[in-house]
Amino acid sequence: MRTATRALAGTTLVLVALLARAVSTEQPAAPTAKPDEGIPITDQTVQKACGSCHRADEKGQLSRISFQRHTPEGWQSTIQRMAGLNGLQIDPATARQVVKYLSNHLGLAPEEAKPASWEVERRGTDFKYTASTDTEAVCIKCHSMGRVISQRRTKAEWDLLIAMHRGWYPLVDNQAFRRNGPPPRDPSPDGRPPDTRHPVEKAVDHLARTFPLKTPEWTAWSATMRPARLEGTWALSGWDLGKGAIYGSVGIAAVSGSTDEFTTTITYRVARTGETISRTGRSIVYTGYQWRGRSVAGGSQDTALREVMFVDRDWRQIEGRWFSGGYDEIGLDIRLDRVGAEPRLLGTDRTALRAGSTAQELKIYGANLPASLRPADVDLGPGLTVSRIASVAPDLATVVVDVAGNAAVGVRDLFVAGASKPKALAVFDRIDSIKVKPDWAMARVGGGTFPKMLAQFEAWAFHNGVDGRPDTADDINLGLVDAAWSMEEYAATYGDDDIKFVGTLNEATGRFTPNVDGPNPQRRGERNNIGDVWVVAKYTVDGTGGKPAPTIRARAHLLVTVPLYMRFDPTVGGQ
Amino acid sequence: MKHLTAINRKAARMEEVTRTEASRPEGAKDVVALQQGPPQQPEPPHIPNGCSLVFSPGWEADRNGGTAGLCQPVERDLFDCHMGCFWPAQVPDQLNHAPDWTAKCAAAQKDWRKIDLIFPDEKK
Repeated sequence: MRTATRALAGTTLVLVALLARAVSTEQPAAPTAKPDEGIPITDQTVQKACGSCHRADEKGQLSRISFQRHTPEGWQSTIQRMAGLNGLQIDPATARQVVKYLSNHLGLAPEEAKPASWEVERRGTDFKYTASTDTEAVCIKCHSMGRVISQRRTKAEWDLLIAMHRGWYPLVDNQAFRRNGPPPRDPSPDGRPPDTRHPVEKAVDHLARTFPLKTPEWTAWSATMRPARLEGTWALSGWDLGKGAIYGSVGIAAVSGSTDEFTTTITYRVARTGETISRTGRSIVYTGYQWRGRSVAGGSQDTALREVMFVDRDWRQIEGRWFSGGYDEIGLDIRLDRVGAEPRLLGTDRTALRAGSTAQELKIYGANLPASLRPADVDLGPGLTVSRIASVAPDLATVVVDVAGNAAVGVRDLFVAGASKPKALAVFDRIDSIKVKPDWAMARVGGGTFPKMLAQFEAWAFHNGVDGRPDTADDINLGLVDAAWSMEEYAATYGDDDIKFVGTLNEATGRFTPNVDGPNPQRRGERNNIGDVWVVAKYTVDGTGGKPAPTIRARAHLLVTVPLYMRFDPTVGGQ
Repeated sequence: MKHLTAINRKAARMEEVTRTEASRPEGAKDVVALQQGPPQQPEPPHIPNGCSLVFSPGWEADRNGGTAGLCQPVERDLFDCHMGCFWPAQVPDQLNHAPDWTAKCAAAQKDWRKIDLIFPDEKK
């Protein structure tokens, strides 16, 4: 017995030694200090702020930093992580300088940043990353794919990023990185042996190949990159969700002593209502094209909007989003076009006119509209006649239009004094249906400890087109209509009465405000005030030919859900 | 089906739902027979930003894109999420990022109002 025990112990020792040897030979080689060529960092502020931990080599490359590229938001969250977790002491002014230098010298080219613009513009986009479903599955279990595709790294850096996740989030291997269950055994359809790698291994391989540090795009952009000269007057056209189109102008002036900072004077009107809004702002342009700003109306910080926009390569167009709200959910789509001396058309207050209607007032928004405008200068296409010009200013002309009873139903382009606006307005004979946009939305309860996340809906009218059938390619979009808004129960669970608890929907504006956060003792199981409801729009169509006016309806799914208890949304630029 | 009578409360509820549904206009029906195919609805959304549907239950939405399957109330589960680092993008974790998050709370569910939001940019 004793001998047997000793023999067993001896065997175990040998086995342990063999195993240890096997494990040590299977360990991946430790990454070498500088496996790849990085980007030298020449700025003394960055060297001083980061250099005590990130040592420089003989080429001026700082460890880690020189081997990755990010958006300004990406670099800022890196600095925040260093301050939060690694004991970095840095004052905000220095941090801003570091973000600016790194964004300009280790940033993204426009072609690289644009596919992930929704990430920095904070849009609730339903994005699908189709290039590698394994990579998407690994990354989106915790965060948006936008964080991933808006960075570039060497292979060693992608490996270290995975190591960082494993270090900070010990459950991540089980939650996202490793496969659950046995490896696949069957060969793939093309006869190759099964790919038994874990999802994270496939993801790193894909990321290192698809998003490397050195790219032709970045090489080309860094050769031509310079501070964008944006001073001047720009025509603004945009969309304020719930209110509709907005048109106006933005004056951009350079901040003296700076090449990449600007102040803005913004004026615009809501096209449908004529409401006028004035704002002033300040911005920084990173990497020669990434606009990050902040503007307020009347000096009140409550009205602050963050501005994230992309400046086009030719400095003639700037496009992006201005936003605010507890979750950046309230926002405007914005497009700025440089204004020269030529007239420019932006849009009209009405987007549809009924056939056979006369003396219809139509407001035309633009820039440099000629004071000498005559009815003959305004061309709305066949069937529409401009009888007179009611008033004209450089940015707004009001004209009076007659629509022939036999005018063909369809969309018309607008031409005024040499300027054009394609698909400016439609001629219709009836409204066939309405649709609610967005067709789904999410709100979060709040107001106690956490901010509320609001939801905004719009009702759009449609004509079925010549085929008379809904939801076909020839349907004619007639634009926004003022619908009556209400909520209905969404049958997900029997008798949950979500509609009583989730919050209120403004019946005139279509804006949903969720209820307060926290457990609700009045609900079964002290549920939060969360739930699923239908948001319903009802619109009474004008009765024709003595018939009663029918009411048409449409609806969208609203998910009212729990708060986020922390946020990753760095603010970059502006004040 | 008129010869069938509901004998318990659940069956009565189902009867009630069927009756309500029948009175709704076409296109506004939530319940349809399987052979009729799904109602004319847009493809259900992928909520939100392709995030978090894989954890069971999800944080914002359950696997069906609704809220019926979520941990409720969320405060009941919050402390465990914080301790176990289970929702690293939704709840500050006790391990590394926010060891003191619940320092003010003796019981997270009772004192949930005292829990602060974590803004990374304010943590200088």
